[in-house]
Amino acid sequence: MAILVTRPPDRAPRGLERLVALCLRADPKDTRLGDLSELYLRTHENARRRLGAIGARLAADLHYVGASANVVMFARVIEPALRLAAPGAMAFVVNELWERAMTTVQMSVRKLVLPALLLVGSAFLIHGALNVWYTWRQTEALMIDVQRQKADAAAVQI
Amino acid sequence: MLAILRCGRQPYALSIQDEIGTHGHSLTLGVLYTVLNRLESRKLIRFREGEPTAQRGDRPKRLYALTAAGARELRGNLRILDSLREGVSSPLAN
Repeated sequence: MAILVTRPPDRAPRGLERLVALCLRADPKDTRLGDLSELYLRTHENARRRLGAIGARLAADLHYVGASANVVMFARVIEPALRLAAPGAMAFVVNELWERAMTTVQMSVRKLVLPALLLVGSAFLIHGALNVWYTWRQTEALMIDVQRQKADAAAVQI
Repeated sequence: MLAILRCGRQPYALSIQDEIGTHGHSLTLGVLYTVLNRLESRKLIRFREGEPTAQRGDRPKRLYALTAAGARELRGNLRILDSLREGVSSPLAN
C-alpha cells in the first residue's frame, strides 16, 4: 500500500479521465485528455517537492479537476454559445435542430421501428409455418381415413 | 499565432500555454482550445497528430502550425500594430 501511495503516477487517474471524457463527449484517445494527463503529471512533480507524495497526489487531482472543468465549460457551454452569437446564427440553429431531429429519427428507426417490424414479421412467419404444418397434418389424417374407409368397403365386398 | 511560432518543434496546447505564460499572460486550457479551434476553422492554422506517449495515456499530441493564410494574416496584423505604435513611442517608454 505504501509503495502504491509513494510511487509517482505515470498518467492521470483513469477514473477521472473517464469522467472528463464523458463530460466532453470525447473519444478516449482525444488529445485534450492527453494534455490534461500531462498537466496532471507536471502538477504532481512540482507539488511533490513541497507537499510530499500524498499531498502531491491530492494537489494534482484537484488541479486536474479544475483544469478539466474549465475545458468542459468552454467546450460544452461557451464555445457553442459563441457560435450561436456569431452572424448567421439562425441558419446554424436551424441546421443544428434539423440535424438533431434527423439523428433522433434515424436512431428511433434503428432502435424501435426495425426491431418491432422484425418481431411482428417473425410472429407472422411462425404463425404461418404452424398453420401450414397443422393443415398438412389434418389433410394427411383425412387421406388416411379415406383410404381406410375404401379398404374397409373393399373388404366387405370381397 | 506568435506563440505557435515561438514554440519551435513541439507547438501543442501545453507548450503554447507555457509560451504565453512566460511572457506574462496566463491563459486557461479551455480558452486556448477555443482560440485554437477558431483559428483552425478559419484555416489560419492547421494541425497534425504527433506520436502517442505513455504520460499522455497513449494519446497523441496535436501539433499546430501556421498555414500560408495564417502567416499572411499575422504579418498584416503586425504591420498594423507597428504602424499604430509609431509616434507614440515616447509616452510608452515610461
